[in-house]
Amino acid sequence: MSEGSPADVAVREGLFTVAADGSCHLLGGRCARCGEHHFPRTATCPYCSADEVTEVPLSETGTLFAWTAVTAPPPGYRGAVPFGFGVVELPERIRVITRISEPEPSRLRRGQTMRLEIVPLHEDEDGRPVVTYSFGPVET
Amino acid sequence: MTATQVEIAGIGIHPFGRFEGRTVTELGVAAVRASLAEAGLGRGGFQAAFCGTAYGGVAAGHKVLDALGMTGTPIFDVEAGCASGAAALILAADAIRAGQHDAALVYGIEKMPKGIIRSSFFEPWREEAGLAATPSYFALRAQRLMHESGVTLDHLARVVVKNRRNGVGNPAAMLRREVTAADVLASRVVCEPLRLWMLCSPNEGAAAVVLRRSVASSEPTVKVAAAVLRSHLPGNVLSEATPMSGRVDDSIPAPTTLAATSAYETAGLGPSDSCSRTRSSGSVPGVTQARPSRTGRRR
Repeated sequence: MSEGSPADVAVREGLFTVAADGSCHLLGGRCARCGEHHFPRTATCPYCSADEVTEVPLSETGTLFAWTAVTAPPPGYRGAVPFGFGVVELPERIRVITRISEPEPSRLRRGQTMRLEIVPLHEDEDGRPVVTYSFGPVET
Repeated sequence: MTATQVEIAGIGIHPFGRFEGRTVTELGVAAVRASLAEAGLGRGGFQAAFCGTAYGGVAAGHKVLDALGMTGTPIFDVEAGCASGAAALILAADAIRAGQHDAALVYGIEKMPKGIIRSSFFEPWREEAGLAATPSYFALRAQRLMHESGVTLDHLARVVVKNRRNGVGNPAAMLRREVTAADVLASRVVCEPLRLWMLCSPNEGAAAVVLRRSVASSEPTVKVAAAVLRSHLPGNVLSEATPMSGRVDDSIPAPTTLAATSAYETAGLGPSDSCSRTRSSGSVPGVTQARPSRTGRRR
């Protein structure tokens, strides 16, 4: 899939970073009090209510926990269908709701390794690609 | 001294379906009027009103009683997503138990837009990224349920068969035709493993009940044995909530489990005792995983 480029527009600022070499990370929050991670980062820890959250890049790879495919465009969505949708478990002990780059559910299996990538959704008014995060199966 | 019991004095319902040209206020008026008629009450017969709705708009409950010339009492407009109607009933029942009122009017009114539910719950970027398709969250829960419990696709289809059969004899139901499991499985795949007929159909309708403090009577009445509400705990990525992330921890109970446990404790009943129950008309996995969150017992 596409790698991030400076011309791309993130669907929302603060969700992910893309380095010059194309590597990317989701930006999570880690609570200094309870030590738990969450995504996206919030000012207050969703688990213990402490205001001691720092931003941390999350692991690029994880394992597939649950998945499906969305076959009809949901409200407010201007991209293509079908697209994959699921939950990926990261080593930081969190499960992230995410797009899945494989839209055919039968080609996926529980527990397989998934890697973060940045994918195009549609173009904005100036013709620039609007991009978001997705996890795709790692070729083995 | 025994605790105050709450009973249902009257019910009213506007059929559920699609009613072009009829406002949500008009649906509510029909249901409220019928419930008051069955209770034998009129203007001044109740001391408070509680209206549950998610899409009804500002002061939707006020507009219903305004149309009936019955304003003046406190009117509470209640929104709690799919639990809005239950939340209204809980507030009314608790107020009667607390001795605030002898009778209270409860009504739920709705006119859902067609198609996949659009909800202001989701921020615009989540819609734009395709992460606001509510059926997809139910699909993930269904897949997990099937993986962990031995529930099969055929089981999910048979829940639909049972629900549709319940509608056959109910003149207020939207879907009144009996279907087979094969029919259900042949309907369009919306989000694997969920088929179109496994999802709730957004629709329109209204229902109302008059609640009152129970008094000694030889007449059999329907009593509210328990009515409880719980919200989600943080960290469960596949509970009824639709968060962006959660913890790798399978011990965090879903709100349905919390509510059902509390309701059974309050009522002193268990699943095997229930002879009549209400539940939301949510999607199949929600219903399958749910134990009834509100039970009513006929005495």
